[in-house]
Amino acid sequence: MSIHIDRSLIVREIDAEVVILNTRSNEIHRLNTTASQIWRYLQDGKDPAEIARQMATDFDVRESAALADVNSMVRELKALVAVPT
Amino acid sequence: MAHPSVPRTLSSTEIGFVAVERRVRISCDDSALCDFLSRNFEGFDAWDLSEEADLAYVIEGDPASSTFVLSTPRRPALNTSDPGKLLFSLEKSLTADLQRARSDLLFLHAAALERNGLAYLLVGESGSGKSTTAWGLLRHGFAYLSDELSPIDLGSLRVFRYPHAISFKRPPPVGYELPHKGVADFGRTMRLPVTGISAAVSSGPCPLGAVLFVRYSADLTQPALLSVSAGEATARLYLSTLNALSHPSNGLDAVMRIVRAVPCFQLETTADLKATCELIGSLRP
Repeated sequence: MSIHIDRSLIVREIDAEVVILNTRSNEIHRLNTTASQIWRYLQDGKDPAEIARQMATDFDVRESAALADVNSMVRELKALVAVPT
Repeated sequence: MAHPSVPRTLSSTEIGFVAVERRVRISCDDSALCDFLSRNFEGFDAWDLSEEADLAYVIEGDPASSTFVLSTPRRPALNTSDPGKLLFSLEKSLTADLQRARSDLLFLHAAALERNGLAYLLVGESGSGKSTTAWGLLRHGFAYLSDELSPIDLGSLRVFRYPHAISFKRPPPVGYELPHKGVADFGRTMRLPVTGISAAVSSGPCPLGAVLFVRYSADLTQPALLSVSAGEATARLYLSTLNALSHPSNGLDAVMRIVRAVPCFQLETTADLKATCELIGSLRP
């Protein structure tokens, strides 16, 4: 899975946090560090299962719990700004 | 650092002053109204009106309707009998025209105070207490730059002054009362010209020292300064930009430049203005 960044979005990173400016709606969003990490994994082309595996290792949580969180976050990101392709 | 100076009226019908390095001329055929308007701009440097103005505004009385007509370079004429409404529209036009004339600067909706040569920005939504906090800080050794408009040079990160009359939506608390004379009361707002502030007016521009996001917290007993992540500061500061579209990447990179360069804090204010001002005064950026 990858994240398609629409041309109306301006994405920047500052101190490990992703900031997304939607120039069409004139809304600005700041992702917290966890959401920013998921965003980066998606940008790298990882799918939710791979991301959950990685995050289960990083944060010492069960992979099933991580997957639920990742899926939820991906849904939020999709709704927020991005169109997965 | 300069102290409040004389009103900028250079004749009974013309006002000339310099705002953000641009010459402004306001022509008004009513001397009483001209005097009233000049008090709003008395904190700015004067110019002698001998050269052509960069920005010119004309206000003419209409005896038939007992109203004034404000003509500005780019907007339809405004016809009103309310001096407060006229001043509001004049300032709205002026600040919009300044943004166009100085599109190299990033204009922020923020109060700015100077101390030890550094500018402190107070950023917050309308009614968050920027002007009241700014007013308090003027009693605690800070000098006045502006109560709501802070243009920033993105190369040097210097803050220009915009020292118009301070606008209050509510009276300041006990111990910080407004002077008995000189306050113009428009009902919804009160305006205090800079000659009434009994504090220094910064000659600016001066380097940016810190950004404070102001929020009134009724449930706190003590004011607090909290650290803010760079991402959050970026998002919040972006919301206060007035001319973001004049800059590359819709101003986002300009805002990030500021956030990377200076400390940003969340300022939780309380009814205790003295404690809030002392807390800000303890900052050493």
